[in-house]
Amino acid sequence: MKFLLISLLISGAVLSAQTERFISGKVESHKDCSKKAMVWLSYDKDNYKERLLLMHTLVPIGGTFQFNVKPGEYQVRASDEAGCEFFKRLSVKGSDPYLAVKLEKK
Amino acid sequence: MKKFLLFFILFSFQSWASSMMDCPMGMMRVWTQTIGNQCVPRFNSEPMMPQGCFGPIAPMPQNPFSYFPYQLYQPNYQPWWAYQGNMYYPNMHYPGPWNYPGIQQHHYPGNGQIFAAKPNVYVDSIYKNKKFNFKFSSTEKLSFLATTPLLPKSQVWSGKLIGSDKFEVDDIVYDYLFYDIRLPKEKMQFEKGVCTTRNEAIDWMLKDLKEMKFSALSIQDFEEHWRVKIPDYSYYCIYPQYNTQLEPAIPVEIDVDQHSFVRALYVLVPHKDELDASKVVDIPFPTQDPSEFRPITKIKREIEFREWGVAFLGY
Repeated sequence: MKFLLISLLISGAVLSAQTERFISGKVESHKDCSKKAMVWLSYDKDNYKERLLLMHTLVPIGGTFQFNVKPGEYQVRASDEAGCEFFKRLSVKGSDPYLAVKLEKK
Repeated sequence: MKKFLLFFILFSFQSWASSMMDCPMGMMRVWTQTIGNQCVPRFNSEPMMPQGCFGPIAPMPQNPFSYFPYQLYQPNYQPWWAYQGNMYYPNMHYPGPWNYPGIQQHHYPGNGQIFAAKPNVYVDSIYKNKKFNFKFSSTEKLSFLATTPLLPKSQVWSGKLIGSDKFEVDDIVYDYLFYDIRLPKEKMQFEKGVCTTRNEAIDWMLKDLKEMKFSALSIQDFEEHWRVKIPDYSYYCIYPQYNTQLEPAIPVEIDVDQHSFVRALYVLVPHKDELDASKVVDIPFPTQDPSEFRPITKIKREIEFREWGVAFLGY
């Protein structure tokens, strides 16, 4: 029992110490939205000057994407030409989040 | 009465015009209801670090534009996503977190000093419905940073070629396959290239793609993206990496008969000052004409894959 507990703790520590994690997802949208959306990945900062953009990718509706990141706090934003939006804050540490990026008209 | 009215109107215009202030060089006149007319600095096109994006107009407390990012006032046409990106991100006009002369690499996982942003893979096929597998076949671990569509652990995109120039993966149609990747600098070449101004560098790359018969759509995508994302420095040296460099660095297997795969990745090195051959620089200035090393595209194949990308050095 002790052995199991220790090995669980060790594997948890190894997982959280990993230097690469994945944020992936699928883009969905309302019928009033466009056929493609830009998915933006930045640091999760409220201050404009600190909200550094790391990557962005143009994804067709129904399409999928993946970002490889270091463990940390991120924002995933999606937007399209018709003014539809999606926003999510993420703490990426011990697991690899998969997002349903649902754009909605604002 | 009419004469009086005419005189009054003329006088009104005269007094209004004389009250308008003339602004010195480098300044422009703005008007707001609360402050009235005042001179503020014109948009400054000098290259700036992301943290300096508000530029010289930020410290002026009465400047009505001071709370807006200055890129919004760029007069040139920008695609919709660039306007939106400017609203949220200070480094929209850079390929990532930036510190001259390159990308701040500690923000990203993986290895390799070359940050290849947006290699896009396009197809031109005579078949309108043909299965394909596009496999990254390297035995070494590749340092991907982003992909669309999602790349499975097998590192294979599988699907159908649709309507002569599109990919269908998991029932969704993509105009192109996209990935960002880090690459080892040692696998790139830095002897062949050209150095020129920023605008001419973009024009040179567009011409190079045309020479390799990239489709109009792919060239349009290139121009739309990179006119926004190449930082605003005066000069650039372009070091093109073609199949000779890219096949060993990012080996790819495509299991479709009678196909070709033309690859071009432009490594860009910015220079703030006029190029001076006597100056010591991190990456040596190119000495050979790269156009002689372009992949040969004279033989037309049934299915032609083409890939373009732009890369920057990480520090």
